[in-house]
Amino acid sequence: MMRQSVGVRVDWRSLALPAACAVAWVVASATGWWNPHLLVPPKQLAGGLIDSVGNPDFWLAVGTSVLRLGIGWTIGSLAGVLLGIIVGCSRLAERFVAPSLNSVRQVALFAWIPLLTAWFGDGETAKVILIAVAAFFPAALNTEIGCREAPAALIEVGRVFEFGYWARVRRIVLPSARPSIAAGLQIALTSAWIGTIGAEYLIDQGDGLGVFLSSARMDNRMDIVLVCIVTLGLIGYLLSTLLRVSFAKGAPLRGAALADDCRRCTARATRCGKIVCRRRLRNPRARKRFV
Amino acid sequence: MMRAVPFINAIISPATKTQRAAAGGRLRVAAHLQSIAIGSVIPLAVLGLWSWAVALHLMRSQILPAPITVWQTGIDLLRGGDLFAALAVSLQRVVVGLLIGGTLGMIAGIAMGRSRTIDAYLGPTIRTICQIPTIAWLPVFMLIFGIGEELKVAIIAKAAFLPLLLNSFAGMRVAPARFHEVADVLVLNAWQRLRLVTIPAALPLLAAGLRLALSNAWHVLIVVEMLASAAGIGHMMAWSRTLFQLDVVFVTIAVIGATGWLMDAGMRWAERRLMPWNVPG
Repeated sequence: MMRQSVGVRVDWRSLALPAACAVAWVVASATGWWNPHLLVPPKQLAGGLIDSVGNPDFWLAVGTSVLRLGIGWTIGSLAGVLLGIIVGCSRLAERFVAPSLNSVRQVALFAWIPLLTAWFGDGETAKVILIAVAAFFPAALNTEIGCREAPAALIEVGRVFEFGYWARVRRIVLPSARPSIAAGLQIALTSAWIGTIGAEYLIDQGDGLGVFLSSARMDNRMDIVLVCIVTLGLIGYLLSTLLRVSFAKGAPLRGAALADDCRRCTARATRCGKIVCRRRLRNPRARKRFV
Repeated sequence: MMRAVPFINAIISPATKTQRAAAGGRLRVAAHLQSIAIGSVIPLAVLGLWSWAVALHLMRSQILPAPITVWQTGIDLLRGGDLFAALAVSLQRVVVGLLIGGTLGMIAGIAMGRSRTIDAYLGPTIRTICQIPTIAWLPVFMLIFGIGEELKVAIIAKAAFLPLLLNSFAGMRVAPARFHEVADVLVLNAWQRLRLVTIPAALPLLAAGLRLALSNAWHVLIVVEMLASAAGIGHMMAWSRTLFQLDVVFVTIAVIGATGWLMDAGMRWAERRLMPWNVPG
């Protein structure tokens, strides 16, 4: 990631550690001095990979999870953006909604699962709601901040043009909030993907990558567990890249503001919630991850 | 997970700065009360709807216990000490995991921050591995560590490792070049430079990393305890769900939220008190 922004130059020193681990892995599994169930021999991992790739159930599970993610993310982030716009554009709405929203947000995401399964059963509804909740908060928060942080200079220009309230919102606030909303949608996607896997894994009913993972763990198949984990990492990466590229096609996201400390470059969120992250300003492709 | 700066500000200091500056003491209190009143409209409405739904038996009482039942259960659990016992177990796990993972992360971060060679060797690998969310590591950790106490500590350590690594890494490099120039002008020796420039510049970042680590650790712990545990607040929640004691589930959800909030608020408060030089924004 760090090197991509500079070019395709590879620092060979970075390969030393993975190479050493790979050698240790091969030697350890060849001599068998560690539990082969945990330290899967390379051959078995390759076998697990081939098994999974050749297994239609695996692809069905992946497809189901992605579909679920799509539905939940769409619902959650639409609701989040709508509420974010309302709260971000109106001080009164903020005073009504913000305290409740903030208290609810404090509850760890997966703590909702017992309640959701009790109300909606172990089926699709509970999972999709959880995914929507996971997507909702990042989308709402970033939209709200984006709307609130419309540059004062632009607002003043609006005043010069004697814009009314709606004209101001539509022609100044929303356009200037766009990068922030896009960033919020990206974070929401990552968060929703974690929510998807977690929901499937915790509820452990029906199908999906999380359920597949859970049953591989039950069968003590470390090779398949590893294949699943790499797959879900890759899918998360691909989806978020896809989203970023499509946003970048629509309009370049320069200096998107996120309502969090930036994890990649550790810039701190300022008091207003906006991060001043030089890395992100320079390289809009710098992304962030949660949990 | 994410910082709710505007939301929290809205709670702690509802009136804007100018309003507060303009208003005198009594007006300020009135503004505060007004904000609290406005903010509690929605919770009260939800409570009303909830009681109404219970009164009309819209849902079975096992699924939707009456608010008063939840309140009673909360009081009972508090009096009986069950809640505190569970919370103590969970908090102990968080502290142990945070100490291990945080220390390792800090050591790695400081080493990588001070030496570009170490960073070149370790950095890319660690950053790549950390791209995979902690929750996804859970099955692997369960296979390696079983479902005992080691699992919880290991997964919390993993959750705490990355934020502290990244932040201590940045902390080592964050002091603006101007500060070092000033140190040069003042001819500070190595110790003075460390004490007066490097540490004060790095501490706020470390504190931010610790806060992030704490919030990550808390979220992950709940998941682990729901999946594989015989004690702790997450287990209490999952178990009462199995027994269909939804009143206990409501209480534990509230406790989990409140604990997360308290930890975050406590860290912020400590940051402000201990590091007055770090004025954000």
